[in-house]
Amino acid sequence: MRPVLEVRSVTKSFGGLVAVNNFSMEVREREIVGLIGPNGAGKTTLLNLVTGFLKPDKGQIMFMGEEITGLPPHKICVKGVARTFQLIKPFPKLSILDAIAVGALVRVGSKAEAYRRAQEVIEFLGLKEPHRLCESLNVVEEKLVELGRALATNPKLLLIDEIAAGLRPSEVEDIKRVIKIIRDEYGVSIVVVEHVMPLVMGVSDRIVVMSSGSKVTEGKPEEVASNPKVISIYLGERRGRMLGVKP
Amino acid sequence: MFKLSLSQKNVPVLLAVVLLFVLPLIIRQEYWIYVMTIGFYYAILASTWNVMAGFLGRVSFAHAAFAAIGAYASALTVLHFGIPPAVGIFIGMAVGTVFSLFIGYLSLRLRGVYFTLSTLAFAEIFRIVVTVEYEYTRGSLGLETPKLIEGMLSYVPYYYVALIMLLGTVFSTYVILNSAFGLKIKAVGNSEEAAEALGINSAKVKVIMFMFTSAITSLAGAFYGHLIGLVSPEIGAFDQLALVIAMAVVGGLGSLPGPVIGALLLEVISEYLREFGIFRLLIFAGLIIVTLRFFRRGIYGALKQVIWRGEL
Repeated sequence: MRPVLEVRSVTKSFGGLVAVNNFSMEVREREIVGLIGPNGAGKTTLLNLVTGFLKPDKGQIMFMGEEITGLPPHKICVKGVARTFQLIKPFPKLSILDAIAVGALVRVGSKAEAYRRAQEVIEFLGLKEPHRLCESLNVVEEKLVELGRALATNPKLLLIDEIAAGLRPSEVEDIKRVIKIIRDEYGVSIVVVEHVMPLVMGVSDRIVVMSSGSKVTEGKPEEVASNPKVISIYLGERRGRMLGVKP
Repeated sequence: MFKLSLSQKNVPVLLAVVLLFVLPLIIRQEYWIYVMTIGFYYAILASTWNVMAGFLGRVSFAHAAFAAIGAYASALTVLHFGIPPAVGIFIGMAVGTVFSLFIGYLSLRLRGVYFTLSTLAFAEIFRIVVTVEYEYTRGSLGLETPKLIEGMLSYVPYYYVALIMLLGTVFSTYVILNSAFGLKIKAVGNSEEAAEALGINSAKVKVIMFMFTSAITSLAGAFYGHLIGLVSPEIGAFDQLALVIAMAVVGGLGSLPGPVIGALLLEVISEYLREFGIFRLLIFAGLIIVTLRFFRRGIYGALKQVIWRGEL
């Protein structure tokens, strides 16, 4: 089956720093892929390359068999790729309903239809009092609105960047459930960039590990978790050796 | 698509509109009718400047310059081709729109302050060109232009033309902001990157709105030229821009009635302070500082809080 997203040997450097180095990965239909790696591994850069916020120096990005390399962000969204931001970028002066309706407008022309869709998303995410302004929300609600906006664009591929950072364990569980339902009900392929292991391990079908811009390994969560290379990346080589792992 | 509901909220607006329509019958002094007409001109400029600054977060320093472009384009075509001023003002509008497309396309795709800097440069270039091209523009002496309504000595008809232009500006802005496109405008104004991630071409939204506001501003400027009968570089001068900004900020940025209230109030105050000349700007600058320090949402924001007790 044709993959939804194909990243083909993409390279991106900032000055002398190679943030993403000859990196390739793919995401299949209805698959949840976890993208993990230490800070500075290039995960967010990769997300920015896929969504058009950055242009790759080399390589190709294919979405549904079509090349999207170097397209501007709004065109990539129209094609069916949505994202959330690691540092959330809210619409502080809009209400929850308005903020999510903005996402729906990429698919529908009329405001009434956009509000109808936004209402569905709001009910799905369990957001209360949708007429509150986004500036008055708590962290969890802000993140849900961020997710809701992306969802309202009716994407085929959803890229979620560190949504669980700063959330309590019970809230992480809620987000985990929501991500799974998004995949199951909406048939969306999802890439989860995450540091919070309970989330990424619990939700992913497959995990890709990135370090210093390159792919270290990929596989099922349990395989990756026991991979010596991964352990040494996360815990450092000396610690890895102490645990009896050879680098 | 658009529904007018006579809710509690609309009553003050309706009262204000009715009051403005009957005002010439009440004041009956040509001088104050003239002052109000000029006030409407500034109210149009403050309203359109507010659309870019208050809703899209893009500060234009070429706003007065666009009024001057409209005024010169209209005056020159009327003088050289003998067309009536009533047609000329629309030529002024068209010329202003073309210039705004040019500047907007070049500078609104960039982030940060580049747009503001470009508009500042453009306004200055325009002022210099107009002053230097003496043969066409009569430089800083200014061009004498025919009046909009020939042989009319009273300012009452001008008052109503200006009032209708102002209401048209505010109403069309209201309709745009409450449309689906208006939601996109607000999204871009809140977070450009998030808007782009949600499929909005933010550069396009900004350029369209810059063209819309510049078109109205040029039309107003052209009207102003045919109202006072003299088009000079003064129309596009920096103190005019500063006055417009003061009006929008004091009245209330990011609201529709705010800039109108601010413009009419400051215009009337400015008439009382006429003897201070250019030093009036100091007083207005002080007003801006007081507004930003104590009531950021301006007079309108403060009024709204008092009347509707903070409810929207």
